[in-house]
Amino acid sequence: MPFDPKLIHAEEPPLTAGGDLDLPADLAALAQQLGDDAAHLSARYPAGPAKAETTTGVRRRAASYVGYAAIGAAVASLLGAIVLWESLAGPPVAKTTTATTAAVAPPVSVPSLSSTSAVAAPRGENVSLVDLTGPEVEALLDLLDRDPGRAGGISF
Amino acid sequence: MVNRLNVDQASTEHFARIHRAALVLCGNPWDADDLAQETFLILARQGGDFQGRSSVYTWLYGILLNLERRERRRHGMRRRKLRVLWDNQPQAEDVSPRADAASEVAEWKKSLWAQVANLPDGQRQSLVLRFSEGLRYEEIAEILDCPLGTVKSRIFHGLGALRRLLNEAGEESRQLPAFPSEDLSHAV
Repeated sequence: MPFDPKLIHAEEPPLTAGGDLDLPADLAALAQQLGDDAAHLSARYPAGPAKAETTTGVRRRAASYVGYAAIGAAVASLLGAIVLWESLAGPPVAKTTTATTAAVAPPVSVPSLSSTSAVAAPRGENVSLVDLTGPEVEALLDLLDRDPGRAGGISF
Repeated sequence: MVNRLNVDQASTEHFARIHRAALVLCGNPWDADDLAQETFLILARQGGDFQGRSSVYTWLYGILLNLERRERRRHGMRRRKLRVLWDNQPQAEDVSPRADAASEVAEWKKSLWAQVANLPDGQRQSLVLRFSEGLRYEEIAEILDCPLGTVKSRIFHGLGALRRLLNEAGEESRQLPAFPSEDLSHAV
């Protein structure tokens, strides 16, 4: 059987001669009540002040975003430059440690520290803390706690 | 193109009517505030897209209806997901105000617009624009981007559907006792 579609049109609304809707009495009453309900709701909950942004506000906010982005980019490039400079200049910890230990640690041997001469190397020679193992760093810190004037200091 | 002066002017002139339409559409003042504000936010941001072929307020109504339809779709999706999770919850829409419903919502639910909310989008929007906003058929056709005859048909059939909904709601309220758990047999 061939497919024979037939469009079923909805009932055409009744119109007046002027082309307006000619509503039956019950529908006209509903329409009237819809209008009354809308007016009642609107009067009960009136609109507050509009807080929508103007185009100037949007532009101003966009400009502030651009400003924040520029500041962020400047900070990031500064940090990058610092990191690059440090990586090119070598480990800074070793240099500062050397300088500090040279200034603070006396070049005399201390009997009480003789047994830990390997660990107490900062007194006599330049040692980078980066090169020390964990136990050695702990031992050094213990020495600093026990006798800070003789064992030297640590600079970061 | 809408410049700054026109945006401010449009806000001053049309915010109240857009807010009223939003209130009728979504049923509570808070969502209506949000919808109206969002409508004017779009006006401020995309004012350059306005070609000037229609009046500003018909353009604003178009934005509002799109936003509201999007919100309903999102809400419906959330509701469907929740129904999957709590499948044993009642499925029927309860249009009568609950005891704990805020009075603002109850106010809307008592009105005919709560029943209009159950109609299809085309009929619902046509009824709002015609009977809440009092727009002409030509303006409604422009906003909804459809022929004039379609607008009239939607309004006519929308009112008919609304009457049927009210009849059904009336039948149900006559059949159901006000307090279902209460035994009223002794009162006969």
